[in-house]
Amino acid sequence: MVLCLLTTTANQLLAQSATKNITVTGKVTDNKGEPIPGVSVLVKGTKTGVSTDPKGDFKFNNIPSNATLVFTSLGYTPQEVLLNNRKALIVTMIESVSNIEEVVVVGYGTVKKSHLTGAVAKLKGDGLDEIATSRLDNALIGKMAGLTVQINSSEAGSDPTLRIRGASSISADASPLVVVDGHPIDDGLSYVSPQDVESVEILKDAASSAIYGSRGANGVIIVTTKKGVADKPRFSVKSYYGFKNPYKLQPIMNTTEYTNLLFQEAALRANDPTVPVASQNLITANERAAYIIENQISGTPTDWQKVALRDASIYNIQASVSGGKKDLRYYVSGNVQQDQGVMKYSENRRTNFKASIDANLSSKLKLSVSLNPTYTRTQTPAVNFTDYYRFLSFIPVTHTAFTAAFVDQNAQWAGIREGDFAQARHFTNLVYAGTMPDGSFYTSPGNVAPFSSTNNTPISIAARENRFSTQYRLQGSTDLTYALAKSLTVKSSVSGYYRDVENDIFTQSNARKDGDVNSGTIATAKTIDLLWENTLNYSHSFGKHNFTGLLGYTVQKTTTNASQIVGSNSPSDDFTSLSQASLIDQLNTYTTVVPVGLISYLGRINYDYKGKYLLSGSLRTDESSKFRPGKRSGWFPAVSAGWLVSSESFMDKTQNWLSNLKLRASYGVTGNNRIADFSYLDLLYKSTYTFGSGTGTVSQGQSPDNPVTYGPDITWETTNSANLGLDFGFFKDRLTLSIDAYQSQTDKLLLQQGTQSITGSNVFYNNNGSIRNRGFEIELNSVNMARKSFRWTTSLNFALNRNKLLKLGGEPYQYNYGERNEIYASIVGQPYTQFFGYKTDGIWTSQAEVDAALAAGQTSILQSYFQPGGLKIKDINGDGKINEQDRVALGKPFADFTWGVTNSLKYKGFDLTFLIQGSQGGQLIDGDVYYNESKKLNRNLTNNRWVSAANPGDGKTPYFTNGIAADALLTDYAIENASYAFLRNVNLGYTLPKVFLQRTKLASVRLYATADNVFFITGKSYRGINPEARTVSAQYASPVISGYQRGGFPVNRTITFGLDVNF
Amino acid sequence: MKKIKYILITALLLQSLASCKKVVDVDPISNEVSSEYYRNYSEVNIALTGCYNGLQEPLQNEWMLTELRSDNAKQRSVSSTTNANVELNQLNLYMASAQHQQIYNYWLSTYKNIRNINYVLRSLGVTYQNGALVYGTPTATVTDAQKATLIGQALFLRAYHYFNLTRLFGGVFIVSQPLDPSLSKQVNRSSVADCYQFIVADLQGAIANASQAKYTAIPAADLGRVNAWSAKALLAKVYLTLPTPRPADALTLLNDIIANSGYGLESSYANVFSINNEVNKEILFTVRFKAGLVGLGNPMANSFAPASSGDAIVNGDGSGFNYPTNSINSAFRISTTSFTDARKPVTIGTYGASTTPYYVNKFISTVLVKNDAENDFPVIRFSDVLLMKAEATGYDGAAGTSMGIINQIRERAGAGTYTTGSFTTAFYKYPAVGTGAITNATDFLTALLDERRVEFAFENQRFFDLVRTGQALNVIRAYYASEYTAFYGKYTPVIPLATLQANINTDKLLLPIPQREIDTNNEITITQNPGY
Repeated sequence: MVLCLLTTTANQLLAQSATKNITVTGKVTDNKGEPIPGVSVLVKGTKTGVSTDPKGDFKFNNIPSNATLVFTSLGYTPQEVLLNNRKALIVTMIESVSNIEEVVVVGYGTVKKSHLTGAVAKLKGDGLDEIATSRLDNALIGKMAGLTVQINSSEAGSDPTLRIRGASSISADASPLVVVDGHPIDDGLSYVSPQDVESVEILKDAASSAIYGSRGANGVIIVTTKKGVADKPRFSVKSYYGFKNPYKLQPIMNTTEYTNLLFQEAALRANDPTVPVASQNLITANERAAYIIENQISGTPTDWQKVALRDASIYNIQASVSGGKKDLRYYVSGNVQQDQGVMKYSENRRTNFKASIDANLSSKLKLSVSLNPTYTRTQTPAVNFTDYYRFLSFIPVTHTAFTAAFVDQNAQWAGIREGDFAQARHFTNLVYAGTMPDGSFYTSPGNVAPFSSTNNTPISIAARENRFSTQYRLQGSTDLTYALAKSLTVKSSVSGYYRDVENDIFTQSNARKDGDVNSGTIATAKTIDLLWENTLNYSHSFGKHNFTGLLGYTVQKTTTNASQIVGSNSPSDDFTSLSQASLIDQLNTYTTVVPVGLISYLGRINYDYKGKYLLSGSLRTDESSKFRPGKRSGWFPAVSAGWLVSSESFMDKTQNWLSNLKLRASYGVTGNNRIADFSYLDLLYKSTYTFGSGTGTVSQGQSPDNPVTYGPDITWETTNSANLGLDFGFFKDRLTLSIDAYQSQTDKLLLQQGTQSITGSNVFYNNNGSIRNRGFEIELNSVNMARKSFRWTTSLNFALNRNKLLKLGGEPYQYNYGERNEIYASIVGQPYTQFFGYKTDGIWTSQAEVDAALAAGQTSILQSYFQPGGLKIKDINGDGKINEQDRVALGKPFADFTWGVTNSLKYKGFDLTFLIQGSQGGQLIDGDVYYNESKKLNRNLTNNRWVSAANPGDGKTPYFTNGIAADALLTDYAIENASYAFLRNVNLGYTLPKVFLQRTKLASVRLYATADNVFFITGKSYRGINPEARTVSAQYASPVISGYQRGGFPVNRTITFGLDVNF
Repeated sequence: MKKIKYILITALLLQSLASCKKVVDVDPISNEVSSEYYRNYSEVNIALTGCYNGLQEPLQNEWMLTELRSDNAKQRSVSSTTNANVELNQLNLYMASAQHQQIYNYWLSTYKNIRNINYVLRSLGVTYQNGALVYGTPTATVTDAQKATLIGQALFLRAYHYFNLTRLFGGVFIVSQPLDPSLSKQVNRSSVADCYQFIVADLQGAIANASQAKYTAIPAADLGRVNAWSAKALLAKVYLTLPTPRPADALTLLNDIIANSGYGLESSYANVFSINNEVNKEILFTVRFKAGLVGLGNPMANSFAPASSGDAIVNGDGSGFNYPTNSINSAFRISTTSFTDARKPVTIGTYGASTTPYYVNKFISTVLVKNDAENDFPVIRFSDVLLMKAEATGYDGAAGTSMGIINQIRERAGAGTYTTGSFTTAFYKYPAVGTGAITNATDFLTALLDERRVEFAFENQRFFDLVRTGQALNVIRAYYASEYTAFYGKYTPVIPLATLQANINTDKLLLPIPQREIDTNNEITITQNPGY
């Protein structure tokens, strides 16, 4: 809601009855006291006007003393001030809440928000730079309807998965196109400093994104960075420092606790007459030895999760200066950030520099130059979190004098000294004797292997294997705009994006196994992406008809030069180059060059009549090198229309409550070509062999080894989508509401279609399938309270999306496989991917129950199925046979709906913002359920487990070694609710009052504290520690193989303190 | 003025349009395209080299499907619940289902190489129609001699793969030319007889086309390539394996090899496997590996070395897979006072003081970097040719040819001439008469199988030998019984011996067709092997 504040410094004089002309001076500032330049000041009812200078000052000569002045400026609520003979004014303008007159960046141009006919969401910069966030994409969480941001991993610098209105691709990349200052850059969100960002726009429907043609099908994220405004130099320093700690850990038992459990269970079985004596006590010699080590040799259990983690920190300092004259404006900023993950050896450092200059070279020619170099260095831990909590606690991190002496009994480990990393193997092949939890004394019958892991301890691997990624990026652009005529401008823009990534892995000797020689991998990829865009802009109004037109031609060429060198056996572990490596790994050392090209023509016409009836049409054609000649071109048209109903005269009566009503409708076609390069060609790969006497000589070899068979005729995916939108503004736009409903259908789906392995590969590229996405979105913004000293606003967004697979290469279904061969089924007529397997009906609680089933003639193809304590499978088709015919869909990785609520409260200098965000109705596969080594130690997975017929537990939790749970078959036992609600962010700030700053040169000072991931709740069936964590590497990069979680990395909880100073 | 400006801009644009066209006309720079390859001898020969490379990958799984399902190998740990161990347990216990990952890996990597081979054969104009090979016009420019040598090698490699597939899975899918994914769902399983007809045709083609040079006349650079002798030896084994064996045809081939090939026994068993003596005269065909990080290293050294042995056996620790059973360990006759079987130390090593100290030593050599050993993996050795001859000949008396061959093999391994003593404590040749003499066909079969077992231990022969001779069920059941107390009885939950023995039956001697292969095909019904 609008809050007007009018202050007078002059005396309140009585209004004179006679009108005379006076000269008025004044200053216009925003509510922080910052001057606003360029505000238009008009005498109401005339065309007489002036505008404010860079200091926000204006001087108006010879105007009636009783005139009403109208102050307007983009982004601020227009204000009317009755002069009433005053000659000096201070006017405070309030940023417009309704954003109705806001300008929205769309592809290749901007449009007034009131003239928008597509579905576009916008987030303004101050929503980004007031909070402490390390990455731009993280700042978008929960802010916009229809955009989901999934934080798959809490590792520093890791990329989240972004989806706009669901996914419309199966085998091609389903993430949105990211455009930074006009240049499509796939990793744009990872390096742009959030504090350099002016606005982020999300193009959701095809009418908006079709101007990006073949890359628009999964939506477009447009990032616009800050530019200078004509003003005196304005400096800004923003800094924050924060601490991170893990929110929650896995409930892992140590060896003593676990052994106690085993003894308790043995005691229970001893009291159960159905258990044969031989099966009562199942505790193995290895388990007993482990207990002895923990209690009598190493002495204290190691909490491997704690070993993995640390108190991490994050800091960020950003300094910027902007300003300029009317004809030359600049914005320069620098940014340094260090972000540590809570897991050791996880860190991301980033240094940004940004400079942009806008110059009016003449009245007709404008020049913009911008340069944004960044440097990023990311350290990634060599082992994942799972490896820590699966490790048994009796292994110490390093040997004590006592344990070293103990393992020295084995001649092979005679060299082990106190302080050396302990390994499981050091404790094998020894005799153990000691007291058991039940008080008995136990001596192992000969040598035993308490923990037969051949892996080194995770921390010793992590300490000896360094993984660093160093990335240099440079984005630069030069735009020339020339006004050919008053209504016709031509713009030519040359921009380049250069990225140099070097991923180094240096592994010291004995890192993973004893006898490992040191080795190094240096993988570099240099990408040069050149974009040349030429656009012709036309805008013309005659009468009440307003036209704007756009014609464009763009060429983009991307060349990636990648190389990798793998070498081993340097004379010292200290080398971080391969110059001294005695061996170079010939198989893994290579270079590749991949050129990609895109040529496009585009055009758009916007027309409106009286600003009420809006019509827009666009067309783009793309030609891409990803497909063979003849299949390269695609046409992507779009149309949209809008009707500003509230501007109609018949709506005048409702103006007092319904201040805005707009109808929008759009239809368009977009495409997707993001698959591996040259997928249309049958490529040959290096495949050498050795012939000849002795150890042979390596001979050249070639073979068609591609795991995905080529698709010679593949072409664009095309997505047809329609959007209907309604925008409401109530009570002078104090409450605004947007509702969008959409349907999109992707045809010619680029599919890695499953095929018979007898072809030599089990998948091939095909263009045969359809997916439909339907949904609706609500965005609501409300100014709940608007007093002079107190202001409370709420933004709410809600998005619901349903997808359905309509066609799949003419087949009824396709199975895709994860790491445990768990099936992700794409079944026509159902959501495009679902978990597929067996439904369980509790567990077999007793042998009697098993015998009864067998007597009834039940059979099963599943091995070791008829075991008491094992999972019992539902015979879905009722044929008495448990076989693959009984598999059904068990869940889907998509949420039914997502939502976010941001509340913002301002009281005097204080501000408080908090964001609650959630996802409801999806499922995930909990891979930990199958990960036997850690599963038995995890209380969430062993509580109330089956022990014997008389002690069946809860009747649902299987005994860990029993039955098909160990068979890695997917059952609903592993399916959990993925719903969550996060109190994502709480931000409390205090802006120092102006009076404190008057004697300093400071314009404003804000102090704040932020807490991220303060609290979360999950679905009841969820047994993990991070409902967002997902595996996204290897096969899980595919949009259809999703929803798998194993070893969820703990959620990071961050507390940050920040200081923003402007002067 | 204004006009000139427009003209200039238009001209610039038009020119740029023309020059930018090449931005999308790009070719792969780092790879050849198959349609533009296979044009001449050199290129087809390089592609054929790729097919040899493709022999390596299936071997990483083959031992799991053969040795681990015989009485030679078991799993080291009954209590391990890691996925890899659980999968291997299932094979060892005859409990693997059609979804078994390792079975599928073998299937896929084998068919992958069959694809590679079919690309080569297509370029040479070779097709398989109505049960016979048809030699058409090659698309590649090759001389007749070049064509023959390429065809001969490729056909052998294809037959080698199909022979393994047919022995493991029964009737499989015959794919004799590059198969388009869109047509692949029309191909169903063929009968075992049809598969063998295909295999025999390929091997006869290989014999007809491949080099006939004697071992000593093979150019040094061509050692390790397939030749007519390799093909004859493999065909002999096929003849012995057929549902209706053809021992007479096998014998003809074997006698030809023995008389004319120039191949022969190495003087000592250790020499056969020495990395300093690769492709020796005993090796009729081998899958070659090469150390030195050239991408051709053998991972078996690290797979088979004892788990948690650190760098005691090989650098980078071992996994302890393909773990030798007590049964195979005691099959070697070792005496402290008399003759001992020299094959044992070559075959089985011991490490540590545990009760389970064994590991497969045959393919272990010093490695600098993990999974990069030099050792080749022999497929057909001359001693196999000799023992096949004994098998094809059958029992012909205690002093007959067949017993002579067995004794020849034993003598090379260090067996002494029997005078007095126990066959279970020392290592003797079988005498013609008296104690230890083999006097009937049943004992002969046992002696032959025992000899093959120790001679070819961990060369993935034992399982096929047992199946071929109809001995698999009783031998493996007896083996389960012999190691039940020490090992199999310790699984939790306990598997009763009777259950364990019942797990293995005639059906289970064949592996299941991977479920994925059946699931993917929605056009025709693929019949699963019985028992799965």
